Amino acid sequence: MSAAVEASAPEVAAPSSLKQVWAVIKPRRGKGLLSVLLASLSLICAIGLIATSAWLISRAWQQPPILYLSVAVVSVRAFGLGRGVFRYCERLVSHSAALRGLTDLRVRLVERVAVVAPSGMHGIRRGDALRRLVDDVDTSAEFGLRTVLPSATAIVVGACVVGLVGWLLPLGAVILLAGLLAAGIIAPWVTARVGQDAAGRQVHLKGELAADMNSLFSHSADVIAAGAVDARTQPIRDLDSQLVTAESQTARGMGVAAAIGSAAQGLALIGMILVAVPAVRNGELSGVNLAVLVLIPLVAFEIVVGLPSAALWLAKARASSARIVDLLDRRDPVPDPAVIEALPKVGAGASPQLSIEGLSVTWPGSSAPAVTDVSFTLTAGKRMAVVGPSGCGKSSLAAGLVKFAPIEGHAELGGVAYQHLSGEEVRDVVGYCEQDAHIFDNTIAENIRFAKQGASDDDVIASLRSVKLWDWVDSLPRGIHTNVGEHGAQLSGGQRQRIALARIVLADPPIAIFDEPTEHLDPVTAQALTDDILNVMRGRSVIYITHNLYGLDQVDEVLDLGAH
Amino acid sequence: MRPFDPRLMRYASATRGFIGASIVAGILTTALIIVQAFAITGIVVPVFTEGQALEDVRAALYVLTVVVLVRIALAYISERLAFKSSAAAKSQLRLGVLEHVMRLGPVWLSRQNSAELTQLTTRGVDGLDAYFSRYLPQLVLAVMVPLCVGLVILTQDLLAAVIVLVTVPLIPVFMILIGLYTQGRVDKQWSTLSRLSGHFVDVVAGMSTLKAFGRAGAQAKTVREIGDRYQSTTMGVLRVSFLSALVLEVLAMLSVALVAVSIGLRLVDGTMTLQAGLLVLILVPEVYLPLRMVGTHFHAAAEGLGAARQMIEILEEDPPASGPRTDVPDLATATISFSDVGVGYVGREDSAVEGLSFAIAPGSVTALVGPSGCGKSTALAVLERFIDVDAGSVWVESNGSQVELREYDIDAWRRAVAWVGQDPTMVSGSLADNVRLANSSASDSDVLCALEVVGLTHLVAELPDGIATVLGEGGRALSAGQARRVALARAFCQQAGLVLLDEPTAALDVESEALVIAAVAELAKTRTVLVVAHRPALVELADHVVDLAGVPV
Repeated sequence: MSAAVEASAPEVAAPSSLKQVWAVIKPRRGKGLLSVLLASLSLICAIGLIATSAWLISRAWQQPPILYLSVAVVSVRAFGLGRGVFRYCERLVSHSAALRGLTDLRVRLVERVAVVAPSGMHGIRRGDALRRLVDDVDTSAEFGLRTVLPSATAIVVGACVVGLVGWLLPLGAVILLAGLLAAGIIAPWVTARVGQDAAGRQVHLKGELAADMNSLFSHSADVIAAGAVDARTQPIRDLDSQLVTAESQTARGMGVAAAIGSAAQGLALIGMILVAVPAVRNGELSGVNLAVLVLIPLVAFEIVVGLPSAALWLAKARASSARIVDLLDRRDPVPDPAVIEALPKVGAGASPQLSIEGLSVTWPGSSAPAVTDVSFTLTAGKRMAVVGPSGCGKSSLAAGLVKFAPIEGHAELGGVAYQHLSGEEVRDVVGYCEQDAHIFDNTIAENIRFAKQGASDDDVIASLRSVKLWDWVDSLPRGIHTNVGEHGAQLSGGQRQRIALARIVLADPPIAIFDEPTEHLDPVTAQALTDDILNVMRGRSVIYITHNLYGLDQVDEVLDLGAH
Repeated sequence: MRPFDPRLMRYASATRGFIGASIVAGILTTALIIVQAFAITGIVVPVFTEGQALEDVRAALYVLTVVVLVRIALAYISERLAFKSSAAAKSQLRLGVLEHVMRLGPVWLSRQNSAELTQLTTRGVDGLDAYFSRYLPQLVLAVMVPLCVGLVILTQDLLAAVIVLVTVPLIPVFMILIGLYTQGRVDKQWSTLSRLSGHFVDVVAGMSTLKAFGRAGAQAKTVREIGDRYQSTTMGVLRVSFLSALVLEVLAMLSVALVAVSIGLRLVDGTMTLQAGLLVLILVPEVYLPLRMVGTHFHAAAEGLGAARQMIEILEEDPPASGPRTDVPDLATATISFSDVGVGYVGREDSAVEGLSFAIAPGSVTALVGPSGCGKSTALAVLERFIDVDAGSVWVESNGSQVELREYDIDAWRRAVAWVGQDPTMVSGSLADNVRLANSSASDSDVLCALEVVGLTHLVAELPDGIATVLGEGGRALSAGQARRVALARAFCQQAGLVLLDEPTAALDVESEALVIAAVAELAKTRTVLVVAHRPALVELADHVVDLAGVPV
């Protein structure tokens, strides 16, 4: 839960973060202006159609020569066609601009994540929080499309229509403007206020509800077997009824916003009649234009109809961009030194020595070190197991050794102190097989090939052979080109770990760290995997992290972190 | 998508009232549209043609004012009602799914992505707001307005009515035709699209893995390339899917233009009155408005309805069967026998079993052994009624009478059976809450007694608040061995005659194993125990050993 809470911390968004995101996603000037122009033309066609028709009918009643009407007749037909056509073009242009912005924002984010991952991502490492970040990118990228475009269009078209009415009857323009402002500013403001309020409280309730349901589902077997379903679902029912209450309050707010919009239009219509009718009587307004003025309020409010959702999107985009900027502004917790020293070359097949003394690792965002005062020397070809109960800092030690987390104390690789080495240099030499190595939604081949630049299919197959996956892969109809599905859904736990192992085999680093590769596996599979890892890595330096006792007889040294 | 799913009415009764209200609101709105058109014409025409003053058209102005006021009230009420009904429907679906999932049980759940399931029931159904507040009311209007307003137009002008009559049905027909034509193309591109969009998530999620292999720097370029491909594919999809909106707008607007021009020309001829012409001009766009709105809100609504449909599908899954009999005998004195039992696909870790036959003698300890995947856990799941047998039967024999397992009421049966799974979990609450989970009436001394039997007295002494210490999420974490023993203490408290244990010593160190085995032996003194065993020390404890390896799978 704490991870999700931390990620949502900048909920009260500074407008500046939206500005910062907008600078990334802003469409190139031409496309942005073109979208506004096309959207405005489309709306003008809709209003023009009714206004011109009203004039045409009024004028026709006076039975003038038909020639006098031909311009109006042609205009009416053109407006009728223009509405749809302009709208279609606008949607294509604006969506293409928005997609460009989406790509730009994604690239910026990936660039940043590449620098700060994994320890700089504290607070957003969990799946749910990560997915939200992805949603945030989508929400922010559509800000132009959902908020800027309708607002700009409303201003342009609103000005045109008010100008037209003002030309016919100045007082009418004042009434229409007042109505448009009420429907275009007050109603969206109320909607956004209510919506934001709802987002604040309801998102929190929904988060709790989701957490409670998730935890009930993960305990389902124990709870059902114990016959405690009713008792354990009661808190969820309570949360649910709170949520319904909160949503009903939103409903009232939405009702008020809708009423304001409806009132603005209705009162503008009545107001227009009240000023236009006397104007016709005293000759200020030509009678043929009366129908034009009265019918305009019926259609002109289409200008502002999209603004409440535009305002809602603005609120959403603000919160989203705050979370994005929070990540974009993060600093690398393990920055490379200003002057990078080169690692001395060692002969082929030999490993540089890794020695650490009084090492402690502290994760960013955490006050206490995860592991303290560790010392050992890993000479070339030595195999060392790191054991200890869960939570004693085994994984943190591994992260520190590959410069994924900041370290204190002394660490030296090939005779060079860690603080003089770049992260990439260290990771070139020290391979790292994470506890939950990510399996990409791609083929088996691509899931392994990336470990070594320029690796051929044969290289991949060779590494599959040495991790004993080849027989299985070969039996698949598409072989190494089989897709493993999202997060490797098509693989068993053991197969996932072997894929991760195959990457290390392919990359062939002189030193390799394995972080609990047998976690979550059943004992038989786990033991077979342990044997295979230690076997395949023969001759190289290995740090093998485990909380199991199996395999400890196959290593040269055991470092017990729990003994501290 | 079908615009309406009748199952929604069944599973979310809040929908029913709302649909009734929407129809009333629809009738009212339609009437208001017509009255408003007459009122406007009644003001404009006499002022323009006869030079009348405001006082002369006072009546029409009053009518118009009333119309405006009623429309304001209607806007407030229907918007509020929509969001309220949506909240109620969402809650009904959510709680319904929750209850049903608990009935479907852990075996069903193990096949689901439970995180996605909770997302679906919380944020996923929010799309229903749009369905209720925008789509459904407009759908009612889209049926009602063209019909009623069309009839009014007919009374004024035959030609305009004919134009409306021809074009209105054309809109859905064209949209369906375009939909059919484009569906294939859109579907094909959709799979490419979702793969491309998934790539970004994948890269961000796997960044540390990429970084470990020195490949993080190259990712921005790949994301850019894939983004460009995503863009061109998406634009291809959009070009086609925006077509239906184009046709809708063009048809609607061109019809209005056609009507307006034809009215104008007939007014010049003098074959039509201004009153009728203006009335028709005001009414014709109203005919097309709800149709356009339905199109606009189609996607948001489809999303919400899609989520609701997924939930309804869960609600329609069959849970393990329950029987009528609540008179479950004391299982410590009953013989339970599997006779040629078969279970189909169970889940990933467990597996199917076929032709399983063995008996559990009263008061004995029976160990199930065999290689992983031979159906040991499945046998326990059958006895705990987490899953139904597909073939054969399980018999319960007590006091000379034989009853089939499925005859018993599922809750009554579960009360008589204690079950300790491979990975017992601690529910959020105190240690005592966890021990008395299956027997809420157990006193503190019962709890302490049960904890003593499983050798956890020293743990209680170590904990800051003793048995009141909070465990579970956000609370104190227990080691695997401690959690197992708390679960065993739970089984003690339950006072059930039959205890099912699934590998209670797996992945434990020697010391913890000895403590667990001692606890099992204590349990077996007064109960029948069925235990899935891996390690020899546990098998030694058993009176009977059933080796499932010999059973053909």
